[in-house]
Amino acid sequence: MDNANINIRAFCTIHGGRVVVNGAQEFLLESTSTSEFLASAYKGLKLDYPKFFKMDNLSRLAILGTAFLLEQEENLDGNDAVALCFMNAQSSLESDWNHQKLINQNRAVSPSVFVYTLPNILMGELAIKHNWHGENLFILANSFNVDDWLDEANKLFLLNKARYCIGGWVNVFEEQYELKLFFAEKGSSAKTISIEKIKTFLST
Amino acid sequence: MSVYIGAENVVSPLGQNIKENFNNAVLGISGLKLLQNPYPKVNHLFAASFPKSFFGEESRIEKIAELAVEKTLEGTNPGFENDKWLFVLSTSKGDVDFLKNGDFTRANPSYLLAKLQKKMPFKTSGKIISCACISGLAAIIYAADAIALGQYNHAIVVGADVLSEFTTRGFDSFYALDTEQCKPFDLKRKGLNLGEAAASVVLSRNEKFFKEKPFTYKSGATANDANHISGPSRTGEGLYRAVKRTMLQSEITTAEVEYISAHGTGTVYNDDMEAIAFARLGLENAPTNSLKGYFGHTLGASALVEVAMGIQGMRKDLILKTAGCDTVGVGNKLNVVLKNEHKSVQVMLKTASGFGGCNAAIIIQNG
Repeated sequence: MDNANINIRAFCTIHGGRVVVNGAQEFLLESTSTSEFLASAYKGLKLDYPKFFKMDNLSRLAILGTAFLLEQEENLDGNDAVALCFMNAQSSLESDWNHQKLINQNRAVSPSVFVYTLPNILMGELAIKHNWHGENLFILANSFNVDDWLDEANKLFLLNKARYCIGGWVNVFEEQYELKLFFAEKGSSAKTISIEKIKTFLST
Repeated sequence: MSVYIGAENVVSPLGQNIKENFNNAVLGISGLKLLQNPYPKVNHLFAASFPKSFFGEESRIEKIAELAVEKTLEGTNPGFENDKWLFVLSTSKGDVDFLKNGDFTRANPSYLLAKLQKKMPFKTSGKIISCACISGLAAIIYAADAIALGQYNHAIVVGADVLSEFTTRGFDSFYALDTEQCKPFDLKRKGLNLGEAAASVVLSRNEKFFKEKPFTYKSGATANDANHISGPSRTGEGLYRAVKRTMLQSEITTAEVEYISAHGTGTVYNDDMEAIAFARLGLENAPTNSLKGYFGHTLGASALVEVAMGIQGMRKDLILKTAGCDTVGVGNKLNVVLKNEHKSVQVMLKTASGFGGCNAAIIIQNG
C-alpha cells in the first residue's frame, strides 16, 4: 500500500493525572478520582462548555484530550475535511456497566446513561462541539499501536476522504483512564513532529 | 480497480439462510412477533427473536455469527486461502448478556472476534467496527477501502447483534419502541421493534472468487450530524453529506439511483429525517424501502442484513415492499415501495443512521 505524506502536527497523552501535549506537561493532578481529575482539567482549560458535565467519563476524556491537542493549532471548527478515528479496548464499558447495574438492581434505567452505551458517542460529542461533519470510524482493539492508527489515517488520506485526521486511543473504566491522541494532516506542513520522537515518548 | 461484493447471507428469525429469508419476505412473512414478559419490567415486546430451541448452551451471538460466516464461505470458490484476508466484525454490543454477571471479558466483542477467527479455515487479520447502527456499513466501507488500496485481497464482513435485556430496557427508556409491528415511513408509525440477526458478505478484488456473480462496490462514506447524540438532525445533515460524498466518489448521479435501501426504523423523527435528506438530494422519486418490518432493528447487523437482502433482490429483479407501511406519512415526498415491485436495478444506494449522529451510505452496482 502507498503512503500518503502524513504529518503529525500534535499529540497529547493523558493518564495518571498527567496531561502532556507534544511532549510537554500541561496539567498535573495526581491521586484523585477519574471524575475529579476530568473536572479539574476542564477548569484548567477554561472550557466554557456546560454540556461537558452531562457526558460520561469516556466522552469527557475525549473532549478534554482534543481541546488540549488542538490548543496551539488554528481553529478547525466547522472544517468538513476533519475525520475522526478512535480506538479502544473496552468500548463504552463504564456506561454499559452503569446501565446494567440499574437493571440488576431492579431499578428504572436512565436514557441519559443508556445513550452513552456505545463507543462512537464520543465522536458525536466531538462533532457537536467542533461542528465536524466529516468521516467517523471507531475500532475496538486489544491494545494501541501508533502505526495502526497512522495506517487508518493514511487510508483516509489516500482515498481523499479527509485532509485532517484526529483521534487515537481513549479508554476509561472506573479509576483507570488512558488517552493517546494525534492530530495528523495530509501533505506537507510547516509543523511536523517525527514519528520516531512520538514513539520514543510513548514508550517511556 | 474494482472491489466486488457478494456471497451474501443472513441468519435471522425469518430464515436460516439468505434464500429462506428472501423467499419469506417475498411472501410477506415477518420475523417479528409479540413476546410476553421477555424480561423483568417488560410485559409486552414486539420483536424478532429466535425460538429458544434454536440454541443450546452456547453463546447465542457466537452461534448465529458462525452460521452466517459458514454460509457465506460456501458461496466462495476454494484456492484463495493463502491470500491476505481481512475479517471484520460489526457489532454494537457483542455478547452483552455476559455483562449481567459482570463478565467483562466475555461481553467484550474482541472475545467474539477471536472465537470467530479461530473457526475460519484459514488465517485472517481481524478488526472490530463499532459505530452504533451504521456499524454494518462502516465495516463494509472499511473492508472495501483496505482492499481498494491493496492492503488485503479479500475480506469477510460479518455483522451480529442479539436481542437483549440490556438494549430492550434502554430503547424502552427512550420510549422508542412500538408495542405493535413497526411501521416504517407510515403516517401512524410509533417506534421501532428490536431484532436479532447475523449477516455476512465477502468483498474481493477477484471476481472469480465468487460462486455466484458478484456485484460491484462503487463507493461509500460516513458523516456526522454534528447536532445531537440521540436525536436525528432536523435537516438530515449527516445523511445528506454521507450520500453526497458517496455519489461524488463514484460519479453516480441522482438519476442513476434506481433503488434506496433506507434505514427506516419506524420512529417518528428518524423516518422524517431520512425523507428530508433524500428530498435535499433529489432522490424523492427513487423507489425506497425499509426492511425493519421483516427483521426488526438488528443494530450492528442491520445494515449488513439489508445489504445482503438488497443484493439478493437485485439478483431476482425484485424490490421488497416496506412491511408495516400502509399510508406514507413523512415530512417530504418519498417514493416508499408499498407492494413488491418487479424491477431490474443497476444501482442501489444503501444508507444507515444511528446514535452519536452518525450516518453512512454505500453504492452497489449490478455488474
